[in-house]
Amino acid sequence: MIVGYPAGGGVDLVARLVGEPMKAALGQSVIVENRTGASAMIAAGTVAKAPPDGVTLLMAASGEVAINQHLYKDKMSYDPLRELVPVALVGIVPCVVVVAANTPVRTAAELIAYARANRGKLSFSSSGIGNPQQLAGELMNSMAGTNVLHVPYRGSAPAVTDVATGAVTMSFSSLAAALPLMQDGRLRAVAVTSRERMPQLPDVAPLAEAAPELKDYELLNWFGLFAPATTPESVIARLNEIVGIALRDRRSPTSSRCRGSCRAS
Amino acid sequence: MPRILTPSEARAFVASEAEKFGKIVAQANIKAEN
Repeated sequence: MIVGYPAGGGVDLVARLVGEPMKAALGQSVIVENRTGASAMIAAGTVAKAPPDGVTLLMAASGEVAINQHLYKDKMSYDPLRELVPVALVGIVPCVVVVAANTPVRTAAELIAYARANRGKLSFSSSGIGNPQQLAGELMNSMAGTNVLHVPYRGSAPAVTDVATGAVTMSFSSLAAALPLMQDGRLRAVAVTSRERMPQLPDVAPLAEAAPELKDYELLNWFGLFAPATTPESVIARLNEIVGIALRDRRSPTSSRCRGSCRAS
Repeated sequence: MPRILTPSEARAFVASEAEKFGKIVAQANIKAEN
């Protein structure tokens, strides 16, 4: 199972959690290999060109299979929609919108009102150009008619830290990255980018509830297991079944860690 | 607990998401890092 991100990160963790029950179900070892670089396109390209026998798989985030083709079309060695096929969607993760604790915004509706009243004066951070967090902010701008400037960072930790220091107004972030500063009282979550509230943040409304223009707003990050596109359907179906068993098993750490607020798994 | 998507449902989901992301990238004129 090839992963385009470093060991210890979110996608790597998902791969290892899914890989464990797969070992038992398949009766063979499952090795997670991290091939980082080029926005995870090295890993995805490797699997796209691998023999279609179900042996070489990709644990991917949305970036390398659904976003990068719009940003790096001329640099990609693979066509993700033609050369890769999803085996299973293993996790869907909304972004959390956080502001500094001293920002006069407490709800999603107040966030939009504040952004409209301060056009061109506010900024949002994300963990990098073209990631789902940036797209979430840009989609808010587009639908709400706001003009919040994107400031890209290299990674989610500095992106949320600079909200706490006041360098940027808000961040579209994973909950995991923002949680320590939220628990410290330095950041406040004011919205989520899913249509439903996150179980971990029951008092935080979706952006979709912030204004009528945003009623169809939704932007999610997700993880999935992919195989080369010509892998036999029977192999894909068997792997899908195995991943499903791992995700449904409430005793399994895969279930609780990957499921989270996942809608589709 | 919702059921896991079938492979064909997952394929439709990924295709739909790719189309949505493409529209946002184009509309916001997002350019790749060099």
